[in-house]
Amino acid sequence: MNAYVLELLSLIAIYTALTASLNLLAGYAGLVSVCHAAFFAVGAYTSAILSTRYGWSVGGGALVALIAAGALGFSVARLAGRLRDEYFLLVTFALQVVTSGVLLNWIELSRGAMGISNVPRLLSSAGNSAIALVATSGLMVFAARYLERLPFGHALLAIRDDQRFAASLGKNVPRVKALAASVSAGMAALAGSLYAHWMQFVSPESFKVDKSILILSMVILGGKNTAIGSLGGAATLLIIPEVARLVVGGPVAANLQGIFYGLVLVITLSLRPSVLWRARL
Amino acid sequence: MGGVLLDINSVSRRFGGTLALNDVSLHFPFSSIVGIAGPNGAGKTTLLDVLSGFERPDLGSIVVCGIEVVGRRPWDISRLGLSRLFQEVRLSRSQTALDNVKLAYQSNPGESPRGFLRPRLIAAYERETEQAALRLLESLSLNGLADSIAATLSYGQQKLVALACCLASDAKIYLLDEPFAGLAPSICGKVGSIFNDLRARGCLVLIVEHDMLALQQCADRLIIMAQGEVRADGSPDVILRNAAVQDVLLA
Repeated sequence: MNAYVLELLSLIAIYTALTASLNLLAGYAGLVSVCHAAFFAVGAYTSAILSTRYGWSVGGGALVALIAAGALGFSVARLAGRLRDEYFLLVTFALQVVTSGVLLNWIELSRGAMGISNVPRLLSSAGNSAIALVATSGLMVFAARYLERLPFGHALLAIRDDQRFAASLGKNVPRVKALAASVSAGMAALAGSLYAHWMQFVSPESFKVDKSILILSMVILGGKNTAIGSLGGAATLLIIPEVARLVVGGPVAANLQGIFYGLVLVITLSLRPSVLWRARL
Repeated sequence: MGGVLLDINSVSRRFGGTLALNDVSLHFPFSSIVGIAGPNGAGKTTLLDVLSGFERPDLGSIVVCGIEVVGRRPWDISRLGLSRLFQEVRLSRSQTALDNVKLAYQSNPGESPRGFLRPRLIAAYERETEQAALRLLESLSLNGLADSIAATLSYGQQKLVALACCLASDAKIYLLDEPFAGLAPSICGKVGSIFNDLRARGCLVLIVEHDMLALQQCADRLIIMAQGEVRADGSPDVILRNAAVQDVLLA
């Protein structure tokens, strides 16, 4: 397989995992978030820094990344829990902007716009790394699916549909929401670790708000079905820009991308307006 | 069973300029069915909101089984054994009737991280709650609709599913806001006998209802409210013969 196809497939695998993890939060818990790229970044930078500066193993770095992002997700949801769901969106937007700012400007930590290079590869050979990456992403999608089928997933849907109803049945609404945010953020961070060790390079450019919106678009395009939907949503939005690049050339396609994502969102939402139900209190 | 199950002491709640509850004190023993009636705006629903933790009283105390509940959150109060049926139908509309009822069973290991990695325990609990939920749906003549999405059911059916959720919680106190509204007459008798069973098990069933006939048939105590105050409290037959009460109800 040539390197280009391998890279595209790996990106699809990583974004499928990201989409599945955001679906847990936005689709199931009804908490629409635009900071998934920030959690993704926490994972990627934690792994990159621990492995390049302190010689940590891939597994160790990924574990720390998972816990750090999980704790961050929990606190954000807990802080935003007192607010209505519209404000949750704003809080996540703020977190995204702050994270991007830190990555760009805290040079001692992140090396700023230069990024961190020479991150060790996942496994010694590129082929094995790709297999490990696809397998881990698959496991993450499976884990998301498992959680959604548990009574936990049903409780999330109940909270999304009607918070008062869920509370009247003894569901600790803020705690369950925070738990969902924690799991979702932890999974995004794990995808970030994979990404750092696969690309062997991280820079703030890969984790800006447009990536958060891209992941949210994948969730909306993918719809309710976590496994097939996440893969479909991620693959569609990653492959079409590549096709466009082949057809109209790089510079033009790069400018068309934003228009294209917007178009996909508008079409999807007008065909299936109930994809993201608003939670009511 | 003797003793007081629910104790409301001098509870007041003000919304802007209106006193929704004005110094309400009520005491409820075990094993009783109590009706609450009164014109719109009498404070009946506010009383239920205050009892179930959705509204916080400005003044007063509420004691459930010896525990002060003012200031506690709705889910904590629910776990103390207090179940609430809302006047407007509230359900998880995207899920099936069966899944809605299963939600109501408390301490589900599949809802907490400690249980996530114990699939066998979760599966066993799931089987148990599913059986119980199906029996409950059957007792309300809903067995054919267990797998229907709640949003697709009729108003009366949704109301019954919501009632099933209430009953599944295995509470001691049931706060039911218009449980008979929208139900077919054939099912009302069944629901009434379920309330009688609850009373026989020692539970307190508090029913807010406009249908005075239904209340007269099943309640053993009737409370009339108006303008946030308790205007009459006693046996239904006596209360309904009271001319002053008639004035309140017709006002």
